[in-house]
Amino acid sequence: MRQHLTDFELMILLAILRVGDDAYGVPIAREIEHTAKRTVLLGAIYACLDRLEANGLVTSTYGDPTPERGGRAKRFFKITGKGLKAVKDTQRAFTSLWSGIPQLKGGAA
Amino acid sequence: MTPKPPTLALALLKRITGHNDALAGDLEEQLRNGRSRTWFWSQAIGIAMHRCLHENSCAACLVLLAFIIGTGSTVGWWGTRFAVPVLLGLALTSWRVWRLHRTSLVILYITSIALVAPHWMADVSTMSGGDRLFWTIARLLGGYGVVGVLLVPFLIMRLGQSGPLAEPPIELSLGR
Repeated sequence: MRQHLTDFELMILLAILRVGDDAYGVPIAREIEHTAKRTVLLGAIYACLDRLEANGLVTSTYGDPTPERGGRAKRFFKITGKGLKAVKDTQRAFTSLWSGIPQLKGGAA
Repeated sequence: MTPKPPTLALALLKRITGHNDALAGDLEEQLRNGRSRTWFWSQAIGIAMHRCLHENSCAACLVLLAFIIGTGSTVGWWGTRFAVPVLLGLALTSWRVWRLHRTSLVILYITSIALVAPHWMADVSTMSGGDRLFWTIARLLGGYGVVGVLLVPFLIMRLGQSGPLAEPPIELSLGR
């Protein structure tokens, strides 16, 4: 299995952490769009979440069906201990890569 | 008035996402929160394309093949005499594809026929009387018949989520 996450997987895991208990498809997508300024397809988010769940990085549970969703239930996601470790490992890897690059120092590009 | 999601787009989503309809619920929620029906359609089509490309490269190749066949026949690279046997051949060999990836097969046929049909019907418009009626019926039966034979059971069994090809229901854990 891969040791580090892709940028999209990382974004989704961070969005779940930022949203908290109400982390289902819509707020996760909104968080990524607002924070990362990236337009995302809800289907792509679910495909990625399914993959993360299969790898044990997130778990999901269903809420109660609501009328504003056409009687469909929300699927809430929660990050697991393994998922949190993967986020930290990726952050550590990125931080190490970032450090010591003269072009990235200061505000100018 | 509360906007209703497009029925066809919902059927497509139901087919793609199976019994896990949290995604369809999210889309409907967004629609009620001010998103347009065009947005809903773009998400549904995007999801279909995403699934085809990411989950089954073979299916993606089939869709590409359909596009090549359809476009080639339409612009006259091969002429209609090649398009018909190719489509018939696809119909005869489609059982394996059907088992592999049903959504892609349907996209394959719809794309093929949609692209080839105008070319088939072009010279019919120059005919007169009985010839025109005969060839219109013959080509519609010949072209759409091939598709229909496969699509009708598909629509009944897959979109209806019943019958021998339907997948078993997923077990939901209710409550958060």
